[in-house]
Amino acid sequence: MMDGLTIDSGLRREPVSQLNEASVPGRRGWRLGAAPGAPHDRDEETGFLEAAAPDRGLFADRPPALPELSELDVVRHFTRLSALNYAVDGGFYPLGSCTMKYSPRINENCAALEAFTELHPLTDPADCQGLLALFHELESKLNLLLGYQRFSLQPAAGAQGEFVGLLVIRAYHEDRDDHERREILIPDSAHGTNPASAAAAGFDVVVLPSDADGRLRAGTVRRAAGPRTAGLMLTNPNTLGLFEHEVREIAAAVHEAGGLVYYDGANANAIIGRVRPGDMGFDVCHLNLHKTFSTPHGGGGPGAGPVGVRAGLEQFLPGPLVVRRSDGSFAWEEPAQSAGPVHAWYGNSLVLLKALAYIRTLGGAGCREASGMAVLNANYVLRSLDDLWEPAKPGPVMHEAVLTGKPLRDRTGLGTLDVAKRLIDYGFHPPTMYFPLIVPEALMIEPTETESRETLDRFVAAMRRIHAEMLDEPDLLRQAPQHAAIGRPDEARAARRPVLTWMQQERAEPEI
Amino acid sequence: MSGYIPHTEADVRIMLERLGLKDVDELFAEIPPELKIASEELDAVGSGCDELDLLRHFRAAAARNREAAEAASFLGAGCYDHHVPAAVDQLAGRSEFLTSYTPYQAELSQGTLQAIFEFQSQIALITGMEIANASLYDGASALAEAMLLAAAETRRHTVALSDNLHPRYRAVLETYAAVRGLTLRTLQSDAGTRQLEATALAQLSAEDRGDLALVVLQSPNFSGVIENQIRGLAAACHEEKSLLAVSWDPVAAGLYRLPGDDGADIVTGEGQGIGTRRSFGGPGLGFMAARQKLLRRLPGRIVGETVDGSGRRAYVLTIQAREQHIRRERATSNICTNQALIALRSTIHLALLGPQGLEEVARRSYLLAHHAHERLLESGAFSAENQGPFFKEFRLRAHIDTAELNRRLLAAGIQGGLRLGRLLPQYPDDYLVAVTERRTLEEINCFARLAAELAGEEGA
Repeated sequence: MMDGLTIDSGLRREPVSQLNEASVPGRRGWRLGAAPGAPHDRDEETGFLEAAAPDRGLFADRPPALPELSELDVVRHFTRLSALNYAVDGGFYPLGSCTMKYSPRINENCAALEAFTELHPLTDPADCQGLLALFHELESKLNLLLGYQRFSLQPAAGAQGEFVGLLVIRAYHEDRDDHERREILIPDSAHGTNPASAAAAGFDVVVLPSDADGRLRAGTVRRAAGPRTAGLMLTNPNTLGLFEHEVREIAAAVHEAGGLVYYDGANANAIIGRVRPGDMGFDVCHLNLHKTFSTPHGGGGPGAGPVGVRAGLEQFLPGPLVVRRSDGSFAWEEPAQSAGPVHAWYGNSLVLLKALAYIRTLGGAGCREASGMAVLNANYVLRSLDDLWEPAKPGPVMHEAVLTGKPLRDRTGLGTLDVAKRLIDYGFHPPTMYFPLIVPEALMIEPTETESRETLDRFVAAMRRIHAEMLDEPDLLRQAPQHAAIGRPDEARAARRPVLTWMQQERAEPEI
Repeated sequence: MSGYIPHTEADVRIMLERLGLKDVDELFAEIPPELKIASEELDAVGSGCDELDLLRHFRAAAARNREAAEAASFLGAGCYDHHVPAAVDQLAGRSEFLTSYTPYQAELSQGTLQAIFEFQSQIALITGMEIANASLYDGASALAEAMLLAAAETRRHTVALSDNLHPRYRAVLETYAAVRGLTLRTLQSDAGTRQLEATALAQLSAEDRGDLALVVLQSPNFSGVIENQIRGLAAACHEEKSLLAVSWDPVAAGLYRLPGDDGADIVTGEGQGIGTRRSFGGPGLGFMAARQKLLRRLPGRIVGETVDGSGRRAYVLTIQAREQHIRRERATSNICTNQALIALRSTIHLALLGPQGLEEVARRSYLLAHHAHERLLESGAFSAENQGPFFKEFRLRAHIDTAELNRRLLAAGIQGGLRLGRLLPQYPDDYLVAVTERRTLEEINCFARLAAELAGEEGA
């Protein structure tokens, strides 16, 4: 075809049997031989029972009934499963709010050095100075890029970062004996994690309406803020991809009421090297290193969600933090009034190393170039589609473009879900659907800076083709996807009769 | 400098023309000018580097940890040096797993979804429970989530923790409890065996028992001891209309009775020991398994099996009405995405080991640990701290300077045990030693010999 489009998701279509279905009693995969020279292992059975005599009552009769497979069985199984997955390395993945940029391979190599992977978290600090130095370097670079005094690297994900940021806000008020501040203000365009994290941290949520242009107005904040306000959570650019240009007035309104302002860093890829949350008036922020700083998303983790704070709040961070001593060595230090840890150790250490490798490679100017190209790509896609799909709100966008499928739905009866599923047939991962909640039939496209103009053009061509199909061959959308590993799954059945393990399969069979 | 941005100058020009703009900075016109930072302000972030420089930098840092990382380690305390089969790295490193995301589009994510379904099945099997979720951040926060679950289920506010719970886990529970208005109480174990007795609930006041949401214990516990009264404690909890949670080492499933079979309502734990290296503490893997009746209160993602339009087996994220993206402030937890790639590693690991491999690892660890225990007691440097039955880790009372011992061990290529005072200052003389299947008799003998030498010098 002229536009380079093909109908193929690129995925394998044969189902893969479950591990338990391939199990054969007595078949072995990996095995442990006899320990060289161990007295108990000379006669493993007797020696073992002899050593274990007093504990025998605690032992099980047999180990759990895990599947029994050869090593090749296992290798084929997971290789085949991998062929059922769409990934950034396989194609364009414009999932809005998730920043699915390319994850550079060299970063994996840096983090995979044995001196990092084989290091125990309780290693004496004197014996792991190299790793502490890298943590310190990452923190320094984050402070510079975001405009903060200190970062805790501990939170294991963005949602845990939000939780920690809210704990800091809470600790700040309690330290001032200000115990009435129970409310967190959150705009209606916010990610669902914001209200969920506020509730998890013990706050009441007050939802603020966005204006007709999709932005939060300082006047709205001023009217809502008061002596019960602990803080406000805001992402900037917001989930509509729009820069909140009243951000300083908004921050001032919260500060005047005695509250603190929290930056949800989910959309930070738009602003790195351009403007800093610390300068915008945000007292606390979290970042998603797996978004902004390219660490691989792993099918849903592990990520990392460091939390930065302005001067005067660092004593409330979870500990320990790395400090550099006057002799140049590094040590752990517990913040004086820490709100407490959220992780057994220091967070997802290896993920932190990958993010540092990325920042070092790009440098300050490279980070600035990345946000520039991310915003250019989003606006290019928006402009290439806005004659067919209505933008959710007027105006140029930042790193992502939100479209509404409402007029098309009214006209054709086909919704955003149908468009998304048809994109799969053209070999693209669909954008985020039905979010933000305040946009009907939302389609949220975040191309990221690592995609080329040719890729964007092909995506646009597919969208335009789908638009034509909506009018001429609507069944192609209704039946989509037809070229993926499966057709549309029956989600209602999954929730009505939950089958969550292979042991539960028989129990659920009777239906239909 | 980096090759990660594909745009040529011509691309940028063409794209800007489409937008009617002259330069990239115009794209940022919405930002108030006085807030913008000048590019010089970014100089301190660094000027960028190529792969060669980058590797040099990371290798130089790595060299400063090498001695500790390469040492034969007897350090455990919740993070263990179990072997990871080669196939785990190779398979989990496939970019189809590595560079995909949360399986929102089921049609493009059957690989991840089926692997999570298999993970949930394996976790249910090795805990003895009915259901499991798709993973949580780590063992400590998984236990904190169990606490929140129990408080919501029972509508009560008191949680009783065993005094042999990992101190960092306890600290994380304290963080969550403080903001949720939960009261934590401590249950004292038997001083001789370091086990919690079935009658332990009697230590609580009647008022606390009436408000008791959950009892939390760990097995093997922080002293390395296997808890032997789970059945009795579960019965006592149920009598009080409260729940019992056990933080469990999945490797112990190769040898010991499962907490689910003894009546626990929730089993959580750290899955690092099944498929992931110590990695300076993370990423690890929190898991949570529970009774079926708690399904709608579970935190995090859950995968279920269903069919597609043509009746083919399919997997989807399910029971999502619990979750933050639907329920917002009324969600069961704020957790969205978790540790999927680490869960995948565990799934592959357990598939490779199977029941017999898991048993072999557990037996070998048990045998070597018991051998090390004997040898270290013989060295004269230590006495037993307790008489409880242990699995792969044990607690000693030192009669020598263990800081000096650990220095000498490291020089001999061995990372010694944990000087407990680092985490529990009230026990400056206690020493926790972990032994996995990776340790050898030679390493154990060397450890014991250096301990004996030091004991001789110090006249212990």
